[in-house]
Amino acid sequence: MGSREKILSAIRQSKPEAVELETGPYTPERTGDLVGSFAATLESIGGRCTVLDDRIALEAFLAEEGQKGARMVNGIKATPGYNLEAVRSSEARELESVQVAILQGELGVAENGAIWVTEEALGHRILPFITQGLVLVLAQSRIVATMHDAYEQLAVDEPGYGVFIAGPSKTADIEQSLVIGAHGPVAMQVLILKDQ
Amino acid sequence: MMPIVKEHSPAAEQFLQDAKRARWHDETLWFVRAKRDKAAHSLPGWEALREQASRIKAHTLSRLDDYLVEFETRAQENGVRVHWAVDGEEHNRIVHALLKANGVKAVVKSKSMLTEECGLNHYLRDKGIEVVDTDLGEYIVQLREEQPSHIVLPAIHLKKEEVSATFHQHLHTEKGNNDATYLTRAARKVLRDKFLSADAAITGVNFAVAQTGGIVVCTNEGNADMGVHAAKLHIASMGIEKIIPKASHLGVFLRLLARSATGQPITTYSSHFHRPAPGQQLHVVLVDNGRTRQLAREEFRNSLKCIRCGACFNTCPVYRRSGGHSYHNSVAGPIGSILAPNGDMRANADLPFASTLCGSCTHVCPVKINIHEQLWTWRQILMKEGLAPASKKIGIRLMAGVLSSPALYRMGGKMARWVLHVAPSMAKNRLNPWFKQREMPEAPKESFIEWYQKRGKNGK
Repeated sequence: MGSREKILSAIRQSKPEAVELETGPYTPERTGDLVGSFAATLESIGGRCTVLDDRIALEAFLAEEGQKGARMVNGIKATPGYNLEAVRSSEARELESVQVAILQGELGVAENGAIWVTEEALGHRILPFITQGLVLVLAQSRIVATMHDAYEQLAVDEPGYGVFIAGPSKTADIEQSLVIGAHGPVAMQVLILKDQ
Repeated sequence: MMPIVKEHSPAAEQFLQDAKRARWHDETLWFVRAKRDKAAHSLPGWEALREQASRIKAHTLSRLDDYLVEFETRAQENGVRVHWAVDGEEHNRIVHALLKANGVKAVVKSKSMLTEECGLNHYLRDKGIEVVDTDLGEYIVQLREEQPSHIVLPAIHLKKEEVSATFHQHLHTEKGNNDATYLTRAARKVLRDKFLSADAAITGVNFAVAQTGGIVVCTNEGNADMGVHAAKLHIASMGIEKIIPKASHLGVFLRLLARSATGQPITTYSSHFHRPAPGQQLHVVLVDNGRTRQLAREEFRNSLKCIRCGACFNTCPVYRRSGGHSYHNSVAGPIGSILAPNGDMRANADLPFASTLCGSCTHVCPVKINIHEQLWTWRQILMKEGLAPASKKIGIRLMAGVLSSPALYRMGGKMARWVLHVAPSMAKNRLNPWFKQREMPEAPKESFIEWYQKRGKNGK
């Protein structure tokens, strides 16, 4: 008998009587000021949140970042300077010098400041981790209240890889002193684009 | 390095010798517990969420075989290779064979208590493969050739001066620079190079979803993702109890996990792996290593619901005052004291006694495991098996004799009161284990029975 069969048969011999799992339809608990609570939560975990009025403001932000001269990846489709495609076939090491990556978020969660991002929008899976600074752009209408709402709306297995990102990377492993910037970005900002 | 003591009580005594450090450890973990409380209390429906999580796990355990097979099928459809290991030894062999087949010399590993349980690092090192633990806390303890002392905060037993000295020795940082940011940046620089030059990445698994065949890995540092996305080979090791039926259940568990662990609303990264990146291999190793045995033990079955948040450690008055190494097990604290005797009852017979049975662990557990009741149940089993510590066996036998004879009981009480009044030093000395770390009670002049009988005679 192989290990697979050994384990499965051991489970069959030792598992308890079937315990039913009642699953009613899910109804959201609360709504309210989702942008406000998203922003407040994100700031409390070390991220920055800026609300932009329209795409003109977004393009102005991108232009300003671009003028700083640091290596930047712009992953916001249909904007001047979009250069995500070049990243798709890169080796991880080639992305080490990226100073700022500006990427499109799919869904934001007000209760914890997390944003769901998929590999299509990341260009390369390592990009949001290896970059020194990360900026995620999110449509205001794409903010939900809780993680339950998020999983209701997402097909998490559609992309081969997807990730909830909540703030900059951090650690408190030395005497519980919080240090922003562990292995991933040392700074993280979210741009919320107002609904038109 | 402190010598390793293999029994909780003397090891705790050693830990407490440095009173200042022990106090810091106690207060710091209590602070983490307080942050957990704040997060829990500010979330509407917290108790209902715990109940829901507990029920999902109970249901999953009752159909564990079905869900594992469903996970395997979906994962294989996604291009993920699934392996099964009955024990730690087989797990290590599978991992090594994969590394060998791919010509791997250097591995980066993110936090995985399972690989600690299996002793993977030593196994691979003996085969000439370099393994670097990349969680900052685990990296620190690895450089010091120690074990993690906490499943979420691996280096919580160390002070920044010690981390600084360790980094000075191994990473050539400035001597005496104890700044946490400076030290973290130094490790970041060294580990970035490790991530980018490693041939393979090993990660743990927080949740595996049967319905979609995917795995979820949670970190704050971003170390799991840095390793995985830079390497051609990703091996994820998981205990078979990490499975959950549906993706929507992730909503329940991700809401509970970080809030219970550190008081954060969620970890910085919750990464969902469903298919390997182009040109990459993704392998998942499903490990039993005693879990089906625990599943068969009805009174301990619930311990398999554990999501490894560490909340029971932070709240435990014994853990906070004895440190993780006193538990001589990869998972310390209250939950570790239930899991360890399942693996080796004799070697871990002391652990269920490393508790006051106050029940605080049970109250904070996000999946409602009745931890303190299980500790008490283990004690009864260990007594019956004759595995309890000798001092307890003798003491309990003596008490049983005294309590079953009213005459002996009255005489014993009288003697104890007399001793405490006339010659307190006879009780307050090192030979009396109860007096260690405790004050003896004030003895009343008479017993209740003496008082009652007197009262009766005086006719009131």
